[in-house]
Amino acid sequence: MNQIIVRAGWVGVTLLMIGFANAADRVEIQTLDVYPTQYTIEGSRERLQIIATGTTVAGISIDLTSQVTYEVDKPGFVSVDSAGRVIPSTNGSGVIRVHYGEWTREIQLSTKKIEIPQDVSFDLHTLPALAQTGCSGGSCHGSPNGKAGFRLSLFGSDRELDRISLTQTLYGRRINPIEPEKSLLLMKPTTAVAHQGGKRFDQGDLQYKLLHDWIEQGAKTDRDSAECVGIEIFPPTGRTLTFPHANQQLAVVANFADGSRRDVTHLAKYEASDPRIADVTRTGLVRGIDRGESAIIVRYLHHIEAPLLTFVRNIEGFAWTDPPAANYVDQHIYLKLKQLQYLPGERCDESTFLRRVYLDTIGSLPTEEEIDAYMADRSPDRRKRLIDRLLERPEYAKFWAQKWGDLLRVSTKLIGNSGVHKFSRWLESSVASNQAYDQFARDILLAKGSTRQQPAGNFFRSAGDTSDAMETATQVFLGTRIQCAKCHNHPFERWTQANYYGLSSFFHRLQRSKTHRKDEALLWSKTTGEVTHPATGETTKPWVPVAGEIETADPDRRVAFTNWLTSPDNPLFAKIEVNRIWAQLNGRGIVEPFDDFRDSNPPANGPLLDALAKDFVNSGYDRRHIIRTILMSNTYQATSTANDFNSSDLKYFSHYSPRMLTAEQLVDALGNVTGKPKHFFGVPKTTKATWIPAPDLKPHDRGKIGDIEFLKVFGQPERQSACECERAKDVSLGQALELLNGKTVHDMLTAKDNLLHLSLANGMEPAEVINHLYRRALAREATKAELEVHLRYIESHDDMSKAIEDTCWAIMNRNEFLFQH
Amino acid sequence: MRFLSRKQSLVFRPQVTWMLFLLLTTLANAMELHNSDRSTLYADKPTVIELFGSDLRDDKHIAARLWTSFPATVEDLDPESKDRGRVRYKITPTKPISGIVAIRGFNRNEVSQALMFFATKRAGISPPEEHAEPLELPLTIDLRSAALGEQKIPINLQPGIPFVAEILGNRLGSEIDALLVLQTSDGEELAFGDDHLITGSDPILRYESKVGGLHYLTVRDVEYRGGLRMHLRIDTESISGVSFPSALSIGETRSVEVTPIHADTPPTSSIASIPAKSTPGVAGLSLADQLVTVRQTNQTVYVEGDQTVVPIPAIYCGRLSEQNEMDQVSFAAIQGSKIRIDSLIHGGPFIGQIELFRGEQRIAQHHWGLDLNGYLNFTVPKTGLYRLEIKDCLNRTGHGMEYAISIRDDFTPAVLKLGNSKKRKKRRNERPHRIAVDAGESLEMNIRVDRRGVVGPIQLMASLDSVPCSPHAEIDEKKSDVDWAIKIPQTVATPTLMHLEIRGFVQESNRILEIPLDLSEHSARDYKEVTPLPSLVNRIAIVVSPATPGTGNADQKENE
Repeated sequence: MNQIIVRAGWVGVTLLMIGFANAADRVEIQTLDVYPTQYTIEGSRERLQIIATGTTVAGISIDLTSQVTYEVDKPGFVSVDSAGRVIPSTNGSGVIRVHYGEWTREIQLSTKKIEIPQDVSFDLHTLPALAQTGCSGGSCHGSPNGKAGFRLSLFGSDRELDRISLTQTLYGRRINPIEPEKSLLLMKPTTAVAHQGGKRFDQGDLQYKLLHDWIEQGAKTDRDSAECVGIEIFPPTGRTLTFPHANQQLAVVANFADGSRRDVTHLAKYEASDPRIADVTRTGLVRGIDRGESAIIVRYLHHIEAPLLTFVRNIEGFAWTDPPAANYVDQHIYLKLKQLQYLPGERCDESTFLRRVYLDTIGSLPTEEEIDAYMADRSPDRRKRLIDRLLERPEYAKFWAQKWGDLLRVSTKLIGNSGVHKFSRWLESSVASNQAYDQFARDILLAKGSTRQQPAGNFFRSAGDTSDAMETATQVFLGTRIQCAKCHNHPFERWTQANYYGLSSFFHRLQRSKTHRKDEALLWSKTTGEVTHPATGETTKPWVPVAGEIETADPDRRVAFTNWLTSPDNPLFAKIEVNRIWAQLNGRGIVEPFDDFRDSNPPANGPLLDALAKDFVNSGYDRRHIIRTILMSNTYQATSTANDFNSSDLKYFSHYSPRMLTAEQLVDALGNVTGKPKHFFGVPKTTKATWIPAPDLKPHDRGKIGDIEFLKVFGQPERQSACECERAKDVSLGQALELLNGKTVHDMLTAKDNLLHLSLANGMEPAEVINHLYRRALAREATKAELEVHLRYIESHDDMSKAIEDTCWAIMNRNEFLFQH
Repeated sequence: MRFLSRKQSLVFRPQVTWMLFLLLTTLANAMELHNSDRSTLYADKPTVIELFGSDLRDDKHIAARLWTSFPATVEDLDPESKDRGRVRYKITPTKPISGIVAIRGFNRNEVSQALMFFATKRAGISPPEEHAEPLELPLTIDLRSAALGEQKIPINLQPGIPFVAEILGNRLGSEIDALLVLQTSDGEELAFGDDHLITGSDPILRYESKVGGLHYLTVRDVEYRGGLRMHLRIDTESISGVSFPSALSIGETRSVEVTPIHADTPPTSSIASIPAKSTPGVAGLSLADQLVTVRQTNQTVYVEGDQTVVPIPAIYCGRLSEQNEMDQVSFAAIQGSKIRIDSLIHGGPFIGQIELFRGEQRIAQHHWGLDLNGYLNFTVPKTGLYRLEIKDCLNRTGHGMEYAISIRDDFTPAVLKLGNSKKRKKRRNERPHRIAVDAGESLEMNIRVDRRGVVGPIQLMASLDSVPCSPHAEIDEKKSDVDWAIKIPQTVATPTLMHLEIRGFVQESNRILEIPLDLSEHSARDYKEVTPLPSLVNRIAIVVSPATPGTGNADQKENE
């Protein structure tokens, strides 16, 4: 739609008709609201964004900002363009009438100081303009080292640095007050001279004009300008938009320390969290692309807000079948699916469920005896009883302790061999005893004394300094990747450098002393010691998210942090863990990545996350209860086969998402199928891959390189990072080669004492051998067609044992085996 | 003989290499005591034990003699055996023994390191099979850890009756880092015990079964190392306790309070007596039926509550029994004297933080959390009364918070070390701290001093089994070592194991200051883990044999 500003002072009334919808296209509404209803514009460079919202008879909100007509009651007072942007012309006050059909709303508007030439403000205009155009972004000059010798603070977070960079460094050549248009600051981003970052704006753009005028006016910095303390977005988070009316104009208002407010819509930077769902223009117009949810990340200077918008589309032929909900998990999932018009999948069959739930709870495939026992059970609650049994098995504790080992970086490189065994043992015991999660966190974060006697204290050996301890603790227990804020404010989130060092101060006093015993550290807290902000040189006070700065009388500040962390009032603590459990069971977190909670990464189903967290807190942080609740839901038990109405859903859990077995699960599964389980260095022969306490127990031995590399090729993490992303999930050529002709698979298949050869030696018929293979690998019998194919191949082969090996190899290379589905 | 061609001689065939390796290995072997089938000895009756090691029989297949830290008779049960790696003995104490005791093997040419045992009236049985009938409590088992595995011991528990399972391993000098896991007969884990606050790597597991019946107690080394000896004891109460005071003067008999670690019972009194011939260090004593670890010392021991001002040198013993408790003790010191304040207890829960005041002015401080093996050193600025404040850096209280602080003004930072004596021709397989000599011989030694700022001549004195040896020696003021020929007594009827103690003294400001001999670099080769009984390893073990023509250094000298 064209943006045409019509100034019609000569008619006495300004009337804008551009973009007016035909009466036939006009949507019937039952209410019309405008934002704001009154406003004062102060200064000739200021602007105002109007938002007009209609509500249809069906209760659907529609953005009508570009469809309404704007009428200003006084000529020459202000002008309004078709997108609802108001530009002041003279001082005064008046009314803007907003018309839509028979609906009319009024905005009381006054303007001040318009006649006084307003200098470009360094803080309010220059820095935001550089941020909006991406110049001070993290991938450009806002990176810690800048780009091409030009360094700006990230999104204008350090005005002094920016002032010096712009006006003084490079002998002041970046600006030319005599001929502003010859300034490098303007010539580079308009590509008048070569610019590696490409064209950032044109000469006609607002950003060009602001920078030009600022240079022309002497490139002054502000004196005593009020600091921006936050921004507000309209519409606020949670608005639902329905196709075809899936556009939404945003308005951004900045609040300043002196109590003033300014519309900064034209200076803010916008980005959609999910570009598959929506995109957003530089002027703040959000355009829906597909159904789903996306947060719109709005940034002004270093302030960030991320309102969530939901986009809904009517799908032809969709009819909600109203499936029964097994528990509150399904209720929330179904509510979202119904809104987005995805149809949930049916429950999976028994053999699929059996295989899936075994892999998720104890990490390995069911044995044939276990399959028989389950299939023989005809009781209606056999799934529930199976889940209960599995959650009581020792393998459950070992398998889930290994997951925690990944997060807490249990490795011999970091904590030594005995440290690994002791910490793993403690983790296993914690899972086995179903230790309350808050107590689990307290044991880890408040460990003191000997790490041999308090194995949880090995956390502080893996995280061996203040920064590492804080970063790991916040990532594991707060789901926050705050590392970026060590050097600069977080590029995607509201974390500042001050926040980083405020959090660090909780761990700063912790001391780790070596003792005379191996793999032991003595943990204790000094009574003094403060963290200094590297940029300001000031002492930072202990700070936590939401609550802000907190006072603590205990010299060991970890106590205050942990008390806050594990408090039921902390909205994050429980959510992080239930989301992690959800992700481990469903292959994808409600927030994904599941250790990256931030406003700009909204949950796929916020109410479900809230409900799970509430249930978790109410249950006394009972992890087993949450696992059981999720496993019992129809959502978890849904088939992985998509139907016509959910095949495009990758995010809202309408059907089970197949995922490849982890490296450890795969090794155990291969051992299970062939009857030749793999043995590992430094642990008993009966130890499964899913129980190994650390990935680096085995010394590097080139003679056994095939053995070592298999787990690594399939993504076993080195545990050098607390990030779940360290476990590689990508499919690689190496994996294909390992499965096709790798040493591990070959040795298992060709071992003369494996189950295949023993079965043949015992006179078992090939058909029977194949059936056993299918049961061990896929937890089901071979179909008639499958059996025929295999038998045909075996009969065509001279060497039956080789043919059986080939058959087993073929089964082990099927997606049905390699994937959890 | 067919000579190999030059080309052939350069090619080492695998068999030849292997034989050469075996030969060299045999030559390099020394008498060592690595292990035993038992970890316990009967307190008052004969015990048959099998010792494992190397060179336990000599070339004539005669079994090594045994030195025991207690009076006993020893008998080789298999005199016909030629196995040099294992020997069975019957050891009969000639009077009841208790606590931690030690055994060394020796012959006229060499001596092994010490192997420690727990002396008890109920010595351990052999470990049962996993599928054997469940054992009734109480029971004691001597066992060795299974390599890459674990041992499952079936036990029969009584419902409602608490029991304690505890390991004695590390306290016996074993490298074992034991782990105990209690499981139901279905394999469900009920409890586990790992490192303990007081007993370290020796875990203590306490549990009360509600259902009783068959349970399994799994024992393993936490790193799955095999062959490490330990003693498992399962009873209604633990025998591990702590004593107060935790340090005792050598030659002193005094009443001590003994508190079991895992019992709600109040402390009981017991009489502890440290024989006058004992050497300073750690000892495992059995007091009031509890095995307690005490520090035996040459200093006078003062106890919290008895005195608030102590004369130095002194050992000050106290305990922290209340939250944020801080103890104080004062001592008078002379201007210019060098004070060293050290903690005798390392490895327990007490992590001390001491501050030294003169009046209200803080003079010095030390934090054992920052430097566990460090100590507070300061030179007294002015003659007067100094106050020491003692607290735990983690503000902990309870068992194990008994401390023993050494305050000395007669100590120097210097240490003596064994050097390489060029005059002494070493016997085969001899270790610097485990040597063999003939009676009447002069033991040539080289003693080095790491002066660490200490100036002046250093007088050296030696005693063999507490009997002073002659002559004394002196390290010259400008030198850092001396060759010293210590006269060995003339009269021994049979090869006898004795312990040589060497101490140095230096005069400084009209005071005689002691310089200890540090054997840690040598004893570290005997014990990979810190041994609990440094009193045994801080002395040089010497086998003194009657001079026999054709053997020994005496003959070598005569020949020369």
